[in-house]
Amino acid sequence: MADNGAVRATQANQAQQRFEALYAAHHAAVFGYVMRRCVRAEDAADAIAESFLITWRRIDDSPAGEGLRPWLFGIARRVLANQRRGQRRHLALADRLQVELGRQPLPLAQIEQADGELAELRDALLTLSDDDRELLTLEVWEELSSEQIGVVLGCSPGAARTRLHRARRRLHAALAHTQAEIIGGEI
Amino acid sequence: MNDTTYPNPLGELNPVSDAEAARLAGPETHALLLESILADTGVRDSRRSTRFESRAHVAWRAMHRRTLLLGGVVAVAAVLVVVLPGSLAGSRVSTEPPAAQAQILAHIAAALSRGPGTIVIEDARTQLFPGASIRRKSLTFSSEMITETSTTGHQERTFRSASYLRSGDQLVDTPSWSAIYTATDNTISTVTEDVGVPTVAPSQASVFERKLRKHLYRLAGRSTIDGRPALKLVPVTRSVVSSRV
Repeated sequence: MADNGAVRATQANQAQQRFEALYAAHHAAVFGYVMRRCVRAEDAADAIAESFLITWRRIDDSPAGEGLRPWLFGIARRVLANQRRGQRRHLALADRLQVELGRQPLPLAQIEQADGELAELRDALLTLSDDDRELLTLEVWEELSSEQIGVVLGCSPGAARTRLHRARRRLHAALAHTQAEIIGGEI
Repeated sequence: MNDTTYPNPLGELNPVSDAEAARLAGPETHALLLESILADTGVRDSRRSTRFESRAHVAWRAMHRRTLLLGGVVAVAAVLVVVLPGSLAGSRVSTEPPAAQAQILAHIAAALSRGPGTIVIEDARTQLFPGASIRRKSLTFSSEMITETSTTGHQERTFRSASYLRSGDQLVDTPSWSAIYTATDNTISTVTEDVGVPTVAPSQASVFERKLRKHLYRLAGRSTIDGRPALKLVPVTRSVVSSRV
């Protein structure tokens, strides 16, 4: 009985150490991912806090190595999707974070100030569906491979590649009548 | 052939880098967030990813989840039926601790029965990454002098590992939360208006309990000191003490 208690305590300590290491290595990536997709500080704070809370509760499932970052993005993505569906969950532990993030305009608002060709690209991006936009930004902003994008979206690498290809085509089409040349074959 | 590669213009729309985003919150906020999350005692969900599960297994899991949900609803209803009528009528509220805490309480009771009780406070600070550290505080009920043995070469010495909280000492964890320890019955009573002296109202008790959890303490029982409601607290025992101050 006492041995079982000791084993449980050891496991709890290991889980805690694992989470602390995960937070130290990847907190910036999760902050970046969420804040690139939120306009309001309270949404960003809640999403970050809830993403890490879910991560802590599922720490035993967390993959090792290169699979960890897309796995974290997958959690944050589902939290943000729930927010958009109106299922926002305010956590007390996000209070202080919200205060700090609310002291300045969130970076996403700065995209509004883009002008010229970037403004047209921004407008084209905004005409796409959420899914297409997510695919493109996962590739460019988060610098994920097709395999990693598949982990985030919960689909196979092949399906991720196909969806990415279609999203690029739709972005080209949105830009076609004005500034298609600015992106050439790069996107 | 021109081998020059151009940056993807979509990248120029990237509103913020990871490092900049993380810097929007100060090191203390990072530490506080991490501390609060680690204090969460919710059951960690160890379910496997459903990615490679068969349809039959997914269907079975959905049915199993519904069964569990139904069981949870029944359990909550049973608790409400048992607890609410007594508290709403102003009669005696059950002070029975949850079953999961019974073993902890048994250890505490055994320790206290051997003599006058003491509470040991341990402070720990763990470096997470440069500029951010996390502080953990835990309380331990004990009736004996806490000693630690340290071996340096052939020398062995015993020393007191932590300070003792005396009767009447005020325990302040945050500006919004403080408590007074009473040694005679080993209880800690809350003293601030912010948290409020707990009453028998279940809603207040649950709010208080959440705050306790956030601060790494767990409500283990209720008592009364000079007619004032008081709480008996035990630490959440997940803390890892790396150093003591």
